[in-house]
Amino acid sequence: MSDLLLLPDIEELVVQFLLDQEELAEFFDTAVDENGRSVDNPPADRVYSVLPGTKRFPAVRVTRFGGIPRSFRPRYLDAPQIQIDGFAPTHKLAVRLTETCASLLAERLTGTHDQGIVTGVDVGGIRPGDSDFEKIHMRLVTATIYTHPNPATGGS
Amino acid sequence: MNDFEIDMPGILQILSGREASEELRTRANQAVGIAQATGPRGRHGRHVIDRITVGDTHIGPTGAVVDIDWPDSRWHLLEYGSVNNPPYRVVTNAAQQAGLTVIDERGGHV
Repeated sequence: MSDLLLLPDIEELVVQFLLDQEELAEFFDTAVDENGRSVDNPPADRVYSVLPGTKRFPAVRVTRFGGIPRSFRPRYLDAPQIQIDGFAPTHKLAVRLTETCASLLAERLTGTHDQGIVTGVDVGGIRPGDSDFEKIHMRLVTATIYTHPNPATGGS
Repeated sequence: MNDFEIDMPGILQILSGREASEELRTRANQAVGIAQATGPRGRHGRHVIDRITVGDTHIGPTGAVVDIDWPDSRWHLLEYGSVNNPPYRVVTNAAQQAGLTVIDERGGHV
């Protein structure tokens, strides 16, 4: 077995974390499609790193867009920057969904996860996302997450 | 007893000076080059990322500021994403690689 040290997959870590939070479940009880039409039997776990081809909303997307490790020798402590996008059929719901994600990260993400150990989280404020071309409203928040491998699970 | 006092006015004076402005402008030019080299391109060749340029240099409350301009109505779709594409963060990543911090308080200017 290789002893290569892998930094945590922050997208997987945050997606799984958010899926475990009951405060998000209420957003996914009902769903609409990209045109705002109600749909039946939507998937309940609508937190993704990549939105699926068949989109149902409200939904959350987690994307790592930057950040570099804070230690290089060894390459151990990472500081990824992520963007969390909240998509919903109304502006108000998009704000509430995104702010709920932001608050969950700020208050509960620090700690031990299977994918890695989070030692600190800096979360920004909610800001508008693209709403020029789509019927679905978008809000976003960015965060820097300080994380390193979990020795109990072998890291990523 | 303090043996050392931080001279904030002096630090601000340095950060607002010519050398700081020139250094920032050099890094901004690097960032624009990185953005244009690494940003996503459309199927038809030249894309909106070619419109990213270095803008004005001015003095802000914390020192010299260099604008990176992106005069395209679609810039936010590439930078922050949409339902149809992820946030590529073209300018954010390029600026960070060049050692800059992004200020995006004004619409259309980053």
